[in-house]
Amino acid sequence: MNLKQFRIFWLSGLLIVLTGCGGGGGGSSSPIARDSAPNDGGDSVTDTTTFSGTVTYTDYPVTAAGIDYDSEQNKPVRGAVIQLLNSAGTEVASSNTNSDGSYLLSAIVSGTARILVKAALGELGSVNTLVVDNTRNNALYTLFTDVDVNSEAVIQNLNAGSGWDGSSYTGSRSAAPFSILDVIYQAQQFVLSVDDSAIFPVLTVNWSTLNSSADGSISDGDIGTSFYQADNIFILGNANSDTDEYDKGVIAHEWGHYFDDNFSRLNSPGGRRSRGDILHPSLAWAEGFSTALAAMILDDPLYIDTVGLAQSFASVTNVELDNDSDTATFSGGANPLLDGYYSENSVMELIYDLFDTGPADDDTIALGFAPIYQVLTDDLRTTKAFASLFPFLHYIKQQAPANSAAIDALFFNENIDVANANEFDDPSDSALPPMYTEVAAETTVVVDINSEQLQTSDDYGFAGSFSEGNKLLNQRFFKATAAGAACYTVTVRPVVPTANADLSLTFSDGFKVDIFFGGVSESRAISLSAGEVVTFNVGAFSNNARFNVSFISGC
Amino acid sequence: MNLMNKIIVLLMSLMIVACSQSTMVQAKQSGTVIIEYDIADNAAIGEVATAKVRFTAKNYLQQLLVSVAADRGLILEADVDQQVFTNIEAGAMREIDINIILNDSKGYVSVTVEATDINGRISNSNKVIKFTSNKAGQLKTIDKSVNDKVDDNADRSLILMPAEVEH
Repeated sequence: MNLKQFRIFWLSGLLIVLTGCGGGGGGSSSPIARDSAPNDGGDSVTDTTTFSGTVTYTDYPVTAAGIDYDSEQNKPVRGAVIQLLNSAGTEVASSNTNSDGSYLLSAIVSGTARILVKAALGELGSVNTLVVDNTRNNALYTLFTDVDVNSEAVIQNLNAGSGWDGSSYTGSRSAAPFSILDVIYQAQQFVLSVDDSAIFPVLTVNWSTLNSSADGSISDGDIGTSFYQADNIFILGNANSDTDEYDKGVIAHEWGHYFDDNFSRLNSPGGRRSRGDILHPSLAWAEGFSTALAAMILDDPLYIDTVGLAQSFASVTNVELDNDSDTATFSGGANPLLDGYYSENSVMELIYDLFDTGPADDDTIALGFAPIYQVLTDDLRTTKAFASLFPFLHYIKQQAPANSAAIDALFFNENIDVANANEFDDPSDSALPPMYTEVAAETTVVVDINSEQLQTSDDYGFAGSFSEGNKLLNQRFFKATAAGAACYTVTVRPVVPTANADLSLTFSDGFKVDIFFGGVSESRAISLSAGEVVTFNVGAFSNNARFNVSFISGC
Repeated sequence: MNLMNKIIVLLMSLMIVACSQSTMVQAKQSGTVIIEYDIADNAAIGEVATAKVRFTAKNYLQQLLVSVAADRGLILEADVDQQVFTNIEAGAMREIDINIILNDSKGYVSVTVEATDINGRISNSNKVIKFTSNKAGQLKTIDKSVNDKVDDNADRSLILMPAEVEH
């Protein structure tokens, strides 16, 4: 051991001794000796200082008239990572805020200490949710204050202010990331209430005051709208145009997509849509379910999206109401009723009706979340059917057999022919083709059930432009059953193999083969047991793309 | 299977896996009006540029109120900042011109619409139009690419926001 090594060894031993004297506290702590605050006797002070208080953020309710800035209230920051740094900037303690926003940290520290409250949930080092700024290199929003350590018990409350001065945002909008974080905390607690073993994969929420409805670069804030994609949520923050940080329904809705993606199954093609659209069934399911889940999480059936100058306008949807008349029809295609398995509103209303109870409840069913969660996280994850209202209906009745007749009645009122519905579809709606076209083993299918050439359809919206190929029949579903145990090849071929005939092939398990070999056949080899079902979805880059489908053994 | 075939199979597998990981954007619902726009040639800094903004009603609308405001990076040249259209049939389109002068390399105009449907229900939506001074008015292609999953990176930079405290 040389002199340098000896000094390190000696100092390490001293640190261990001091640590032993330091005492505990909430979370981790790394006591550091005070070096600049001698006591009366002139010796170094090694007493532990406790830091406690409450962390809050300024919140506003939203109404049909936009954000109600006159009803400001400070709410607790719950479950956030909180850290204590010494005067050298070294972490000496960490913990999480409690459900009432309170915190307790302890460490041996002197001079000035810094308290950091991170917009993050989970334990430090293994957080599961972060709110970051996508326009500033994904930096993490963090509230802080510096405190003079002049007693053994420092009490310090912190509030994240909104920056609203009565007519506009002029200060730091510190409350925004914590408002977003609190919705997600509430969502996690809602799930934990029915599954205390639930583990939340890492979610990054991207929010910025620059996040606007412009289309362009994410790093410029041109996010187009609030959306979910691949364990990232993007939230609008552009004042006087569209902000969503206080629109709790919007945040919880996007979190619903994260839940779907990680806990259930997300088969939705995504993309833009509007009220009254006749949608791809998996899109209708994903969007309607997420809005219903938001209402369940927030215990509020009003989904409010504020917008405009001074955030003083709003679109309001009440998930408890029947939002489309039972006789209202879509103008175009086969003029189907607006209600149906392709309607986001129908899905939203049905799921919430199954869940809710109380004076405002307009039905006789009140299942709560537990059976719905069971279907979502078990049956819908494993079924061969694409996510839609049909497998959900099939399995929720198994979860709640005593309510089976009442559930049927509820769905029937929403234009679902429950008498004939099964896990895969409702085949008796004569206005529309069955959801799935059967493909027998060892065959190539060229026409649908109406003897018409298989093709994508623009009856309910174009594949391109703002429709994004996410309307009903823009994509077609197929179902094939293995005749015997073998490796089968599913192949889709455009009738005219041009570049614009580029097809996509997506399976219900999420496996996707698309655009890679643009303009020619797409295929997947898959090993199946005898009688095993495989379902897949064919889309196309262009409208009215004609194609054939084959299901042949041998790979 | 010889070595070359194995390599080809491996590469194909990797490519298919790469394709299978693509994910779609799950966006919040937009209003009952489709807002589209074209931008005239080259919005150079200091010069007037014009955007044509089209509003297509998805269903019959009793009224469509359009509000336009400069967001940042430009000056809005307009006689009025609001326009009202009434009795718009489903699928019908209305159009306005927006004239701006860029005073930065990027400028934004906020267009907000309030649509009243046949039942008197009101929905609002917003579209921000971005002007750039590069490439003759061509908007950048939207880039929805996102970073890989992240965990709590000790080196992650922080945006420090001062807390409101009691003194």
